Amino acid sequence: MDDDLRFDRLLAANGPALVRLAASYTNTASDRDDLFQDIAVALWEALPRFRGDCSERTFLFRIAHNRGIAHLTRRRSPGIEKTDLRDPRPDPEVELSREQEGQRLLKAIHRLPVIYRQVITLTLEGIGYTEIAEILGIGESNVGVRLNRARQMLRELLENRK
Amino acid sequence: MSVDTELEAWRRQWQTQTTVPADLRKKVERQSRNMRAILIARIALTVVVGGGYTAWAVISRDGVFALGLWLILIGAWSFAWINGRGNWHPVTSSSAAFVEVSVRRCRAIHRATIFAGILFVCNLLFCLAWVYHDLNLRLWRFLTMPSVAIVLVCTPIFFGWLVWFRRKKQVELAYLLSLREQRNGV
Repeated sequence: MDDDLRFDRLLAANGPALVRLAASYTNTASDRDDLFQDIAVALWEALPRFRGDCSERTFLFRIAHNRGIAHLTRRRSPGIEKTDLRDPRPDPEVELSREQEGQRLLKAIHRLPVIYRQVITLTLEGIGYTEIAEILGIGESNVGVRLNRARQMLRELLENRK
Repeated sequence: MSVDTELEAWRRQWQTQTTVPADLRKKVERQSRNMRAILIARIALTVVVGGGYTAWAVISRDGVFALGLWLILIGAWSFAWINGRGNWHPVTSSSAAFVEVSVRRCRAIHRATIFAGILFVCNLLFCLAWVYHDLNLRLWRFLTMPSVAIVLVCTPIFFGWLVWFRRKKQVELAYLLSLREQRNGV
């Protein structure tokens, strides 16, 4: 029962970040929701085996990225044209403009190679180098190198789309 | 734009684009919507087929075919009602109920595949026997009629699909059961 509570708490705290992460691996809203479900079920399965050798958030994002990679392996076609991120809320103008910016950014992130996509999405979630290194199982210096490259590519992609 | 400002701007943009509720129950809700759609389709089919043949029976003053068809429809509805009991909603809103209702739905679909096969055979035999009796043809001529031949060719395709679907659901059920056992510490 403790695991159930922990599961609910983790999802409640990290749900939006996980949905964003799932969006970075998928092209449609329904695929994103399915991947999110996969991540949630994988977390549920794995949580009883969590031994506390890293933070819960690191553990959670490690699972999420593994599921994301598995999703890409299954799909094998990370196209960007079918992106569907409609927001069911009412859309005041300012919010709409912000969302358009967000979608533009997401489309650009979709075009990054996976290794850069992972680093940039985790950075945008406010996760530090050390934790990203733990999540992805790479060195901290490697995180820095990938992040610089990811930012450079992202900048170019966003400039080209203007 | 300095580098850090750039990252902060991206972060703000990134974090605005998720407003969809992140909810584990969404999949179950989607299944529930599908179940409602299937129920509506079933009602429509009953009204069209049952009503149509009842009207035809009244006009032609021959009610045997319509009666047989209604018996099949009643059988199908009874099974659907018994098989679907307790599958509409999770018992509670807890996360454990998600797996539980998924297991129940998977088992129900499993049973429904067997029933669908039996119903299909009953329906097929009944309709073919009726048409054969009505046309009063030689058996070989009857079996080589285009409409009958199409039905006979489609039958193995339907059963092939049914077997494939059943196996798929078996794998899903095994996965859900193992998940439930892990959760219960069995």
